[in-house]
Order: sequence, then C-alpha cells, then structure tokens
Amino acid sequence: MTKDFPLVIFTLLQQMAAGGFILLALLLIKQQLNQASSLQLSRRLIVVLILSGLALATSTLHLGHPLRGANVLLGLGRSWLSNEVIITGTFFGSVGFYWLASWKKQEWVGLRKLSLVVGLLSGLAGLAAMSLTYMIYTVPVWDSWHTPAGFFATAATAGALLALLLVQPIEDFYTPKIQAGLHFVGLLGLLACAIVMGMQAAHWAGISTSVTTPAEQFAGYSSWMTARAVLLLAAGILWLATVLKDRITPISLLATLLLVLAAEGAGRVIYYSVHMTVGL
Amino acid sequence: MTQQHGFYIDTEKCTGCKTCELACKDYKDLGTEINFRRIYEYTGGDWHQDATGCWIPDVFAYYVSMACNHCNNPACTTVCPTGAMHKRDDGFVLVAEDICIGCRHCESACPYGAPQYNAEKRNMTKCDGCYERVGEGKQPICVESCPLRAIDFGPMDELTEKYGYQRDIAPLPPSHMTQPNLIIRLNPNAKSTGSRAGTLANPQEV
Ligand code: SF4
Ligand code: SF4
Ligand code: SF4
Repeated sequence: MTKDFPLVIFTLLQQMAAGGFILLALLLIKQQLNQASSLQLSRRLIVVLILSGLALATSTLHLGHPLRGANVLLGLGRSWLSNEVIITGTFFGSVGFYWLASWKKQEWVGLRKLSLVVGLLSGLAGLAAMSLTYMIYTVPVWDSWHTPAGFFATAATAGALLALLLVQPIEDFYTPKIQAGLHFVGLLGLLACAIVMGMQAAHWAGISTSVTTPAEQFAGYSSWMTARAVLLLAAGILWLATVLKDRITPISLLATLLLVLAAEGAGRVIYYSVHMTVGL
Repeated sequence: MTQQHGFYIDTEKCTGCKTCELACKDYKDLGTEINFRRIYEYTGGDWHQDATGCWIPDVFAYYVSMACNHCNNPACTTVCPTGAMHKRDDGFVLVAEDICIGCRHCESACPYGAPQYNAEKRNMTKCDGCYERVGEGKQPICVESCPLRAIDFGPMDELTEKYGYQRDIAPLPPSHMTQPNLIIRLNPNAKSTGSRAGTLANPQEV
C-alpha cells in the first residue's frame, strides 16, 4: 500500500479537478465567453489547473524512473495506464490553454470554446481511462463496475463542491438555479459514494483465493471502513443541514469538501490495500 | 528456436528444499528481497473419525515451485504502459529494463507473483526463462539444480506429450486466465484451485 500512496493523492485530486471542470465548463459553454462574469470565472479555473498539476506531479512519485516517463507514450492505445496518462495530460493542457487565453487572448473566442470542449471531454474520458487502468482481468477486487462507479461518484461530489466554491463570489453565476443544480449533483454523488461503498464491500466479501481474501489483505480493513462511513455521514449531514437552513457559506462548503476528501481518501487507501490477484 | 517453451513442475517429487530458488538467485545475482523462483508451501489438515470411532488427523503439505510461466495471454504485458514487459516471438516474456519506468503495474496484474521490483535498479525484473542458456541448447539453472528432478523445461508440445496438460492446483490461479506455459504433476494431497482447505505456510518467504 505505501507504494501506492501517491496514487491515492493522484486519483483524488484529479477526480476533484475533472469533476469541477466538467461542471463549470457546462455552465460556461452556454455563456458569452467575453462577458465580464465569464472571464472572471474562467480566470478562477487556475484552481482546477493547480489541482490537476499537483495530481500529475504526485503520480510521478510512484515511478522508479520518473525521468523515463515519456515512455508511457509507447503504450498508447494498447495499455489503459498509458491512455489514462495521455488523456489526463490532454485535460491539463486544455484547461491550461483555456485559462491562459482568458487572460491573454480573449479575442480567440472559437479556440477558447474548443479548448473548453476538449477539456470537458478529456476530463470525462480521463475518469473512464483511470477506471479501466484498474479493471485488470486478473485482479478481481478491482475488476468490477464498482471501480468506475466509485471514481465518478467521487468526481461528482468533490467536483460539485469545488465548482460551488469557485462560482460563489460571481453573482451572474451564483444564481439560485445553478446553486440548486450543483448541490443536487454533489449530494447525489455523495449518496452514490455511500451506496457503492456498501455494494463494493459485499462484492469483496464474496472473493477469496486459496491464500487470501480482500479483508485479510489489509489489517485495518474494518476500522478504515468504519472511519470512511462516519466521514461520509458527517459530510452528508453538514451539507444537507447547511442547504436546508440556507446557511451555505464558503467556510461551510470548504468544510464539507474536506470531509468528503477525507472520506474518499480513506476509501482509496482501502481500495489499494485490499489488492490481490486471482492467484498468488 | 521459435517454439513456445514452458516448465513442468512435479509436486509429488518436490520436497520444498528450495535449491532451485537459490540456484537462480546465485546465477542471476539476486539480493535477499528478490526471488525469481519461489516455493509456495500449501499446508492444512483436519480430523476425521474412522469406523472404530478413532479420531485421525489428515495433515497435508505440498510445495509448488513457481517462477514466470511465460504465459500465452500474459496479464503483465497487457497492462504495461511502456511495452517494457513484452512477449517475444519465441514466447519468452521479458522486461526491457532500460525502457521500464518502474510503475509496478505488471506486478499488480500477474497472478503468479513473477514480476519483482528491484528497488536499487528502480525497475522491474523477472525470470527470463534463462533464454540465453536455452538458446545454447542448455536447460535453465533452476531446472538443472533440482536434486529431485522435480522441474523440467522444454518446448510445450514435447512436455505435453510427456506429462499431460494439468495446469491447475491450489494455490495457483485458474489457468484459463493467463494461459501459463506450465504443466503440473499433482501431489496425492493436491487441492484444487481456489480451495480453502489449506493455507500458505510461508507468506513471508514468497
Ligand atoms: S507468469 Fe505473470 S509475469 Fe509471467 S508471463 Fe504470466 S502474467 Fe506475465
Ligand atoms: S514496472 Fe516496468 S515492466 Fe512493469 S508495467 Fe511498469 S513499465 Fe511495464
Ligand atoms: S528459468 Fe532461469 S531465471 Fe527463471 S527461475 Fe529458472 S533459473 Fe531463474
């Protein structure tokens, strides 16, 4: 597991960045990209860029030879790990281009829109590729629908909170309708995180080989599971309470996001720790 | 030589002496952390009552010596992002150590525990089937070292003709997954793949 710790950080940050960007791109795409509020929001996408950049930088920490990193290009099309890296790189590049152009080249409206669309699509494709990277036919604990479901649920939940934080100071975007939409996506994502967690635990309980079971692979299995459940519940209660009582503030959003990241981080630690193959 | 080669492992003869493992270590100059060949000790036992009412133990233990099976459908090469882990035309699955980025994805995928990460070299290493020796018409070191003659190696069609095509035994994975080039002679106590009748007695060692 320790060897996979950089991947816990990578998957979490990249899922949050991709989820947030996808939601914001959907909001921006319908707007005049040159109006003041659109530019304001576009420039705030530096946060997405930093998160995704940090994610990519962290992912190189689990390589023995990070300097040979370019060799992943050799597996393009054949290996999902290659595809994941290349698609995620495309995402980072499109977001970077879009952000930079929102400062320097506002007149390139068509190109900016194009980079927004490429960013949106590569964000989605990156989440899918990340899932397929782990859906290895010899690794029964990972090779199931729970992997993509869990990854997309994390992206929706953390992404919606990130999007809310970024649009919050911009009046034109922080409309009741958009707020409601983002809270809806995020809360639905949170519910999905909880459901997938339960169903995945049931799936794992049915897996064994002659040498081990998923729970035997990880000494902290039940305590980490409990911690994750408690954190998810806490995030849900805080989020729902602040929505229902109309007490949403940047602080409440940030607190909810931190709880969600802690819960999903615990989930990812479990995910890597229960790793086992169909054999030895 | 373009024929697919493979290993024959006789779990009836093998006494778990680990000579093959050490011969390989010596020949390949491996440190304490890396074992291209590993011996899995599968042990268990139960009590049963005979006709006279006596309780009798039926303890069992057998050994499965495993390296890389140079599979026909290798999980390791499928996931490798660089192609460093590759199956050659002659069937050997090798790591190109100068291309490998040390991502350890192959290690996650192989159900035989064959790819072994070398922390000093910071890249993956693995049993190469002693392909250089085989090219000179010799047998791999592990095969030659076995005092019990419990390992054989050769073109798969010859091995199949000699020994049959049993490939499944606990604690190995179901062979249909990666299609290993491996033939097993079953120990009388052999349990079937996936059986929970025994446990791995030497987890620290493999
Ligand atoms: S035994 Fe493992 S490492 Fe060897 S070819 Fe098969 S899948 Fe690859
Ligand atoms: S560790 Fe090396 S050989 Fe193994 S999958 Fe990664 S790049 Fe390929
Ligand atoms: S074939 Fe060679 S490299 Fe492979 S286990 Fe035997 S001695 Fe070691």
